[in-house]
Amino acid sequence: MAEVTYIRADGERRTLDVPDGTSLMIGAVSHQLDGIVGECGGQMMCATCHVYVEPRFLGRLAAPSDDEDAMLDTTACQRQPNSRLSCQLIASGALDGIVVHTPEAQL
Amino acid sequence: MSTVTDQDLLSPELTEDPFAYFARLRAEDHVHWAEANKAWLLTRYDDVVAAYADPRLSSDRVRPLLGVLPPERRAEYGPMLETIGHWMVVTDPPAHTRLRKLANHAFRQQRVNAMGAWIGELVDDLLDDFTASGSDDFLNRIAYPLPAAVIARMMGAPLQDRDKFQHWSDELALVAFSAGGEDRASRYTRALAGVRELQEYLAQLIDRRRREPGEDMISLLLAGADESGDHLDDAELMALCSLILFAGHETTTNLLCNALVALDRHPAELARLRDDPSLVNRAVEEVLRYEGPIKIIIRWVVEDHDRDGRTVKAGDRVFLVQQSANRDAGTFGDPDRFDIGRPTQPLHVGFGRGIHACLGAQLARIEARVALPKILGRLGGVRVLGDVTWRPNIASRAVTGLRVGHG
Repeated sequence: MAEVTYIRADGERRTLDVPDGTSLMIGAVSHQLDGIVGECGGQMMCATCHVYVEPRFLGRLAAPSDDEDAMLDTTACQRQPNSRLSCQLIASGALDGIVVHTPEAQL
Repeated sequence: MSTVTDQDLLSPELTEDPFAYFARLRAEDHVHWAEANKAWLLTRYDDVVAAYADPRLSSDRVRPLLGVLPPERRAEYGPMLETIGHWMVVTDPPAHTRLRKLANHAFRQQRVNAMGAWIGELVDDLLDDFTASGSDDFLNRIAYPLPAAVIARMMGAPLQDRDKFQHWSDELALVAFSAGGEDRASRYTRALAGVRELQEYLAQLIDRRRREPGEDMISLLLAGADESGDHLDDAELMALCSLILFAGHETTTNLLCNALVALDRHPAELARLRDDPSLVNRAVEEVLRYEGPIKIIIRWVVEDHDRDGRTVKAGDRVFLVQQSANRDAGTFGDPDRFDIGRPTQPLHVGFGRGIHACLGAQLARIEARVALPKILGRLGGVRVLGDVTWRPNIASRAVTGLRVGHG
């Protein structure tokens, strides 16, 4: 289980418990969290689950794969060094407490 | 017992305007047995979204059909169904997972985002020809050739072959989108002839790419790119290429036409987009919601279950009515209003959701985002001429033709 805080572009925060092995995208979508879409269901084809990871947590994450890297070039809002696809961030004890910011738009 | 009188989805009335009927179903019989079409209709947004991920609803809907085909029809329908039965849109995991992963990889490498400038030039060329010709045939001179040229390039096919793609794609659409009307009787034989010609063409293309690999999808699929070393065999490659060619073509044509129709019927929204092209991303999503190219996605029930008191049985067909879900007032405020500034969340289900979500969604979006502002900008006073009529298809929302005037 990881406690994940999602912060919207307008500042609204929501903290969810995401079960181990579940992606931060699925965690958000299953709670109808505004700010993450996940149209393709997590196969890195739509880039509508883009998040900005709060930089202090980046060290806990494996680097993006080549496929994720390619898709991060297609996000609706500007890619930043802390941009990730939340479908590729899988909850575990290591991510407990992580904070991610959702962009203004996913499309 | 349903209080709503069942209507045939292929009737002229519902082909023209199904929205009031779907609104009644959502309110009074949201899981509706459509006797006329022999299928359950799921009409609410939440139900449709959940259905995409429901393992009791299978996408493997062609092979079961082969099994129950009466012997006298096997000769006519069999070969066509065998062919499209290999398409990944009609497979379930794990077969689907493998095909989709390989397709995703090759598609991603096309870097569709970088294609925007080239697509823009293509649109400009088509608009140059259109205005110079004095033609009013928007469908055949702009909406058809644009996606055909884009898909030809992605497949590494010569641009001049796009007219052939168009013909095969039209023939395939008769079966893939369940055509009604006068095309219904001959649709299998016509589609099969189209598929055979397409396969011969693809075989040559694949052979050429084997000898001279490029950056196109066929070359990447031949290289067998995934990390496990998995790759497609020849039959799978052929099936995937024919699917991509078909799927990337017809639907985008309809998206462009439907966009123009919706804008024409809402002049204030048209003016708004022309004045502020930065609204185009939202406008494209609104067209996908309001008048998306795919009306219905079909699933096949593989396990008896209950849906809000209705017993759905294995072997039944279920229609995920995207056209209805996208007008659900429980999800979208004022759903019958066409508003190009509407927020994109909650997102429409125009491209489906989950493992079968449209492979080319990003590409279709880019084509429409590039094309629409140019069309409105260059065709001053653009307007639809004459009445718009829709094709009697179960699956696709497609105009029969689209003539436009300008100036």
